[in-house]
Amino acid sequence: MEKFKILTYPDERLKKISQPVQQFDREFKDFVDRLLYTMRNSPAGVGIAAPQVNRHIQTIIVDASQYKHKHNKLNHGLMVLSNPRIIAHDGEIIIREGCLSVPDFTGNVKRHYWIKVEAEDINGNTITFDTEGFEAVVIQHEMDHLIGKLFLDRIASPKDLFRRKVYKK
Amino acid sequence: MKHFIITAVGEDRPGIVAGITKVLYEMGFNIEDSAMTRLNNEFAVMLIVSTEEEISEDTLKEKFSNVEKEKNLLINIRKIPEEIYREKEERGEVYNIIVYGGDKPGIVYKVAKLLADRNINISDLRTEKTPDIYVLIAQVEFPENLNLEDLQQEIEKLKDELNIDISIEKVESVEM
Repeated sequence: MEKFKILTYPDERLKKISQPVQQFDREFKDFVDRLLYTMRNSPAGVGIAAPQVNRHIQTIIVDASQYKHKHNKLNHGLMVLSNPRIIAHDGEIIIREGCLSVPDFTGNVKRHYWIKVEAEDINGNTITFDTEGFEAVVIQHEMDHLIGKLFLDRIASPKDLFRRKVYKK
Repeated sequence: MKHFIITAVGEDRPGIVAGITKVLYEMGFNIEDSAMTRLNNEFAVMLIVSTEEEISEDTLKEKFSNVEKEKNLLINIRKIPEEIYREKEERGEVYNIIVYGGDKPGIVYKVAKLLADRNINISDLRTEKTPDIYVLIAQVEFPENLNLEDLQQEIEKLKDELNIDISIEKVESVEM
């Protein structure tokens, strides 16, 4: 399988609004397979959103199980979520986020600590679950891509944006 | 490319940033890096700027004379030799250090000395104080060969000596 090319800012296509998924057919599942392959073969690989590979549909993949993080206490493993909606939330959490589409920066972003999510699974069945901490942050980060937002839109304060480490050649 | 570092300080008021950057904009300078912040009622500006033009420190200083008078600023300009200028980079492992406790003389000095003695570089530091609590937050770069256990022991000693809390946390960012 071949990885999708990931769009990087300032590519305008990252700012486009994605459309709901209606057909959970073979073609869609093939796309999800390749999106998953792209995520698995990227640094960290905890999440990816369809618009990051220039497909403007409301599908995200998250897998918080693969990453050790102090806020990663509860996670649901691999999830493919389409048309995700946050139907309840509580609390706040700040994590230093990076993004495959913004490779030169990291930043502290404030998100909901606990969220209740409704979404369609890979077969189009509606599911509801709640989660917290790290997994909740990854879901919110990926959901932002569906409305054309990047973590840069949500930096907590002027002191919370950082140039990524550059290794000396 | 020529690079300069410009610092400006003066009593805080609206228009300091606009006044300074107008001069730069009109001369076609780029702002490569900057920190501008208010400390108490003073506003402090630090800029690294670049230009393709041949221009001396004195000529550049002259261009700022109007805004310097108008906003009552103290402006300082220094050319950065080409061999010293480099793209912003973090060196070594990056950690956050948070120190807090009752205000007493020497918190900043003793923490900074502990770091300097181990060749730990401070890349960012700020302090805040209220009548009761003193807080220092720093971002530092650990050298590769740093003995973490040794550092931890020294920190414990300093905590006891000054009766303060010190926590050190590795800065980790997650690619999402």
